[in-house]
Amino acid sequence: MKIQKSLVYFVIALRSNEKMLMKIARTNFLVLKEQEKEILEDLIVDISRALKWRIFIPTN
Amino acid sequence: MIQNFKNIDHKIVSTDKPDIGAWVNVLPPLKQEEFSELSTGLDISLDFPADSLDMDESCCIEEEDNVKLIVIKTPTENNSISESDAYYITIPISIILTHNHILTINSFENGAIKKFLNTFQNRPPDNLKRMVLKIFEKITQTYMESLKKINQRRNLIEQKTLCFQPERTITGADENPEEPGIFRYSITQQ
Repeated sequence: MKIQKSLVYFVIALRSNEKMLMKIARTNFLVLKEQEKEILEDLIVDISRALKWRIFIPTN
Repeated sequence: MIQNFKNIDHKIVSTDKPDIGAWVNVLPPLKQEEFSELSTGLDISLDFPADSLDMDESCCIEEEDNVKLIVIKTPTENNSISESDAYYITIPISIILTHNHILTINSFENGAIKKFLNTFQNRPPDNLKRMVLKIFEKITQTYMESLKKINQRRNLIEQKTLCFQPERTITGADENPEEPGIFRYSITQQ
């Protein structure tokens, strides 16, 4: 139960962070240079990978 | 509590006032008077810092008078002693970017900001946007580390559950480096 609850918090927060970072990239909110944009894109990929972790798939 | 840090010749220097290029870190206990002083000193709207006090504040970006606000969720261990509560919770932190300063406002102490502080001497003081990206990176790292710890707990529970079956023994629980999060067990019938 404690693990499940932690994972629920994490999945909601990670999705929310991912969405927000995508918005920052799309709108160039921080007015980033090319190299900095790549760093941001890599971070979005890292979050996306974290969300695909098997730990988030419920086991029976 | 308000901390002011500056990177001078690759050394972290704590200052009384937020100099140009400084990182201002606001930690609990949070006082309204300190907010007012900060708000006046850095010419920031008072609404901004108040947002990060709300635990339910969701992720967002806002811009007002060339001051940028980012609210992002970070993981932290849950100090609740209740058996039914989560091991980890997520809390919002506010990152405020002005022309000359970067501010982080925390309603709890959190690991990602501690990690950022530990490497602050490596951050070029004239590039505040890079500092924001580095904070994002430290937050993502903290999620991954917390997920690994949760996974270890889950594997321990699974191992214990399997060990209760007397006809089986478990001879390994190694993580496949190519498939993070997947642990392979060898279970042999006796």
